Amino acid sequence: MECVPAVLDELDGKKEAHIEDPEYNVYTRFMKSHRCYDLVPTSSKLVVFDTSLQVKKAFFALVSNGVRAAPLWDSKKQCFVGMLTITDFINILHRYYKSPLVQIYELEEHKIETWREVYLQDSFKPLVSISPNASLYDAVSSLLKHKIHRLPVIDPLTGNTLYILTHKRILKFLKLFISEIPKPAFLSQTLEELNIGTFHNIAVVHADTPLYSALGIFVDQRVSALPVVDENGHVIDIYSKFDVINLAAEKTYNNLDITVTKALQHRSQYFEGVLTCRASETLEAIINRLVEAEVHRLVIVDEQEVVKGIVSLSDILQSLVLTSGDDGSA
Amino acid sequence: MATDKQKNEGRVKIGHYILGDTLGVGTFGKVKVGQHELTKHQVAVKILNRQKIRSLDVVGKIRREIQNLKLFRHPHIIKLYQVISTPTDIFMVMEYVSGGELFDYICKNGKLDEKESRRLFQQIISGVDYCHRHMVVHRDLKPENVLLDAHMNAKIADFGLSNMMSDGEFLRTSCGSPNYAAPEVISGRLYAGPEVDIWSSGVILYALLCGTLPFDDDHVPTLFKKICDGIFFTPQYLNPSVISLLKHMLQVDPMKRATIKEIRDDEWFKQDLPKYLFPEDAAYSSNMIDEEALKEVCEKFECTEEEVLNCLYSRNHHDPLAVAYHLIIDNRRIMSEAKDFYLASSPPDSFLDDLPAHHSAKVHPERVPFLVAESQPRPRHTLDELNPQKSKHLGVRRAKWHLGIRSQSRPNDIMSEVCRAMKQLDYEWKVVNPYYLRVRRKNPVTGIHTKMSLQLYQVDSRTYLLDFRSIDDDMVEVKSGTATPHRSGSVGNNRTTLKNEKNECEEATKGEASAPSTPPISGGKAAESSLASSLTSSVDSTGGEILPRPGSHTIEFFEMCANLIKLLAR
Repeated sequence: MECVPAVLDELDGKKEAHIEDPEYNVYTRFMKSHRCYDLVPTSSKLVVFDTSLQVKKAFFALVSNGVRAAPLWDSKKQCFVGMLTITDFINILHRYYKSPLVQIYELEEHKIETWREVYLQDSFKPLVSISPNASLYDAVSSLLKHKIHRLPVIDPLTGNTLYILTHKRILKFLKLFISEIPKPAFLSQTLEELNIGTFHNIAVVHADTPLYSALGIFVDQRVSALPVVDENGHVIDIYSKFDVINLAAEKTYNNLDITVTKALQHRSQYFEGVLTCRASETLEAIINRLVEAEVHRLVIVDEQEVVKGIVSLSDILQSLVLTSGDDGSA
Repeated sequence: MATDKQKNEGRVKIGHYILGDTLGVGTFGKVKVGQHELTKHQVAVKILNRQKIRSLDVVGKIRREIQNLKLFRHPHIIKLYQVISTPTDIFMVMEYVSGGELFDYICKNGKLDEKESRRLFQQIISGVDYCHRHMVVHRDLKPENVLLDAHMNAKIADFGLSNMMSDGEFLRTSCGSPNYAAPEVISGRLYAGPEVDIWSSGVILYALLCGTLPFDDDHVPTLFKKICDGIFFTPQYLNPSVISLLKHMLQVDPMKRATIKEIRDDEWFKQDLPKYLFPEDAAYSSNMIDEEALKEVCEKFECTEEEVLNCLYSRNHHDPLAVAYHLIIDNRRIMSEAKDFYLASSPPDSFLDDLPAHHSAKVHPERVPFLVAESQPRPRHTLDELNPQKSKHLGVRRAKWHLGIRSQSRPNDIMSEVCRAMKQLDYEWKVVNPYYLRVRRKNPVTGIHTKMSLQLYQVDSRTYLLDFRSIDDDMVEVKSGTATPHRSGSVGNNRTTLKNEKNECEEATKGEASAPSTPPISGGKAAESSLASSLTSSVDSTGGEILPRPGSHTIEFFEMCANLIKLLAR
């Protein structure tokens, strides 16, 4: 990274504001003073798909390489044009599934570019990416603004994708430093007090909800996970978008009439239960749990384990980085 | 910065240490005394301003360098316990010694007697030798950086620090006190190897024996001239045998200067030499891999055993992983031989110990499931000679990756076949030698030349391997062709290599040639504009200084290889 030192001064210059109060906007300033490059691991795996690859092969390739997303390379345009994620898999399954007896022709035959044409419907969406020299603040802003979970870091010098940035990685990075930087008072406040998380219109499914309906909720409501609740609203399990990739791993995507319970059986060996929290817990406790468990969200429950809301990494980053100090430290 | 709730008491806390008085101001920033809030254990806290540090130090290489400094353990080197990083500063929590600087001691008490000088000098050389063996050069050795403990033992401070600074910065700051700087340092050469520490040690020895500096002048240009001439005054009272050692160490020509080995063989130096200072070192000669040390490196650096072993086997002694391995072995040995010196309490956990786990032992709750195995296993080539990274991961269907073509044809036939294919693909090439070609292809979309080199290797008596290497064009090209800057070398250097199998190769990169049903793309103009906008959208608020390169160096290289491999495989 030959270009790295060039922006150091700029970053340093930005954090001079509000020096009088060390707690003011501390996480925003932290994010502004670190670059995306700082988060790129020394070595990591990156899988790139050519858009002329068949979608089915691409999803298998995600699984066999153990990655959750891949940048898409258009060899005719000679540039990266987008990302292939589990969301694409869900959209394809939901859009083309008919019955367990009919093979999903589109999944079997379409190339990535065919799918993108159908899906994007000429609404040209440029690839959202970020330079390694951009600040983490820019990365967080971009993730939240575009409502995406995978942000490719592209080196302007070579045009190469270096890494795929996620909320998880950013929060984990912040967590490493959190004890070393001043602790703002709002970290000790509760989710309730801070009004962090989603508390209304929580999308849930039941144990017997057909998988196809669950996929429909993912597509329509753009949520990333669905708490599975019993008839009293108690949370008993969770079905996340990530779980859908198992259909590719086990090649069981031809039957989406099964229940979510059945669809979740695959991870019985290492599932540690639904990660929950209370609205009365402090933001600090929530951050610790999220980072430690390496999950994207916690289900907010009351004393009876009844689902009350969801708090996700996006909510946390939004509150820490984009609004902290303004309404957070009240 | 890390004030916690102590502000009202007017005290600043770093980690668990409450900062106290300033001990001194050095090249790198202030040093303050710190006291553990519970144990009252005293430490010295060096405060480094980030602007003086080469990088934000959390990126692998620097992180590993600091991690290694934490492993340094020597009776005469100030121990680094912990590194705490904030957006503005880096705090280094270090061993605290009460005796102050050797510099102050000499100023106050004048010269030391020969025996005492030798005792301290032996300790310093022992410390310098230790660091050099672990690939760290001090570069800024001077009596101010040699501290004394309560029992008048020498402790060298700031080892490894100068390496974190950019060369320009280092020279600028070190020129504030050039009396100890070696001639090649002040004459502006950026390279500073172990010889510069020998020179500085010689200056310190002179200061110990004479109470003055060998090269001194208020007029800096005159001082520089004195240093570069290397002529110094030798008082009558000096023992002739020590004069010859001084002259040997203060040789202007770094090549003629004494080495550590020569100093250790010096008669004057060898007198009354305590045995613990230079223990027998078996660490490097031993070919046996120490499993425990290996495990410890993997834990500390969160890497795999393969990574460490690769460094060790390739004799890549400068790699932080190899350095760490040898340090751990060394630590264990010294611990058993000179226990009394390690009274300092063990360091508290620092953030460096729990950086993101790339190889976490814990199963990630959202790990991607394994693909259900194929019914009929595909034939797969193996390339064990070139792929030492044997997987130990259970249950994972690990494909072997390399980028190249194996063939049992005759070497000349292979090369002419390759050239025919390249001609068909409109590649241009230059024959460096019959088995080494430099190839380029003009990207029809971006207009940029993608370059690679092809080298034919012999694998065994009958098999040849054609290796593809990407040639990095960002770097200034060396015209002589001796040192071609290479990026993403083929096997092992880079994990983003193509799969061996031809069919998987197509799967992983592209299937353009076999794509009859490809829908037409929406006009050349549109493609161009979409390219431009997709790339400009990636330009961020801070990085407006570089115009992004269109395309992608690595992917274009892969495409170039894939097209060639496909054509050859027909």
